[in-house]
Amino acid sequence: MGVIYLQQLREHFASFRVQISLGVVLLFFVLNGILSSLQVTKVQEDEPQIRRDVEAAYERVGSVDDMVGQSFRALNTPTGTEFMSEGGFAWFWGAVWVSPETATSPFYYYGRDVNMWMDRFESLDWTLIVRLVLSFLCIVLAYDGIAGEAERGTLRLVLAYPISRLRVLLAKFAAQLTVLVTGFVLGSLTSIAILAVGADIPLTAALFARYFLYGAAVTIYISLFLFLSLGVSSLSRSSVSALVLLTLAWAVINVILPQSAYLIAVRAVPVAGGFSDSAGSYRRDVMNALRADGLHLAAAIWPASMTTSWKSATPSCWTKQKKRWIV
Amino acid sequence: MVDDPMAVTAAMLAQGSPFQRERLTWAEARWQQDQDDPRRQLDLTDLPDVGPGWQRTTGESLERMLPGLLIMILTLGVAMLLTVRRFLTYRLS
Repeated sequence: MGVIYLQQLREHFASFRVQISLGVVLLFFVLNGILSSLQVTKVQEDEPQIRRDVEAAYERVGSVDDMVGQSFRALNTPTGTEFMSEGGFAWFWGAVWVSPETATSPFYYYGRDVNMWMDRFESLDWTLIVRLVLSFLCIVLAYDGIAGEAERGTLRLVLAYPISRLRVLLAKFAAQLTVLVTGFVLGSLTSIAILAVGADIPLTAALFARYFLYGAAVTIYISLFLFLSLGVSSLSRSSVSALVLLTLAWAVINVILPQSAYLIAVRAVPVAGGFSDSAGSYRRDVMNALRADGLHLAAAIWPASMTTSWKSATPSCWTKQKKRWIV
Repeated sequence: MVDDPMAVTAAMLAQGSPFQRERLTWAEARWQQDQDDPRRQLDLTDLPDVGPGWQRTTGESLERMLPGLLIMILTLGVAMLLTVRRFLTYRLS
């Protein structure tokens, strides 16, 4: 098995197709490192100012009365592994604004991305590279692993060795996995090195523990695609038809399934009401209960053009700082 | 409550004006009412505080991703089995 593994490995690394593929993977990881460095630097620059603003809002509050009319921000703090898996950090609310004004809904503010239209595009994180690039390389590497060798006649030679077919298959798989894992390790370490130099990210044990967990998941994912490719290759009589079938499968798994998963899930699993629904109905219940007791909630008086109900409002306090409140 | 806010003039808002004294009296009465009525008091002692628990631990993350992880591992198992089975019976033409 070791002989076949080494022979396959030599063939792969000598192949121009594999060399180009590894170069592409490395290029993607370098781009990831550079772009993530810029992003991390921006967050590092923004964070102290945002935090100062948040603290300033709390310092202005001395009593419950002072809270009325104030808005507070609950911050979305970076995890430090956004370069591995962005996880919505760029488009999800960077902060949620909340107000103790019971008669007005909290309002929401910005995402980290400056350009909201960029939400439509995926971030170039490791997950994107693994999900799209590495999975496609699995196909490129393994589509002719069996059908191609059968066409060329080399499979007959390999099977002539006094070794079981299972071992031959495992040796092929192990060689392909080694090539891809090498590409991932080289690329990801390059990305981390760029981040360490460009954005001064701390290289802690916790970061490398996450790296190894991520690497384990990547290995499982790559293995899945390799076995899928080898399986289809063994089912097809020609390597070209295996490549066509696998490209279709890749498109279904990476494009169609993720896009339709939400629609399938909302039909398969009952979904609880959204945050705004539950918050709104809770506020309505509280307001109705208080009204039943003869109490009225305070309402913010916005400029007259923005409100139709200010005349009926019965505010409970007079804030000296905020002129938009009226007794 | 101000019945007609649009009718409020700058002179009425001057310090010590009858209007302001009337508002102050009203506000004091309201403040006293707030003190006396427990329903008007806000107890924030149970307000959830932001602490270090905002970030999931590795165990919690694994627990959350377990169904997806299981599906991936099971799919890998099925792909392995089918591929091995097919290759063991592969007929060279």
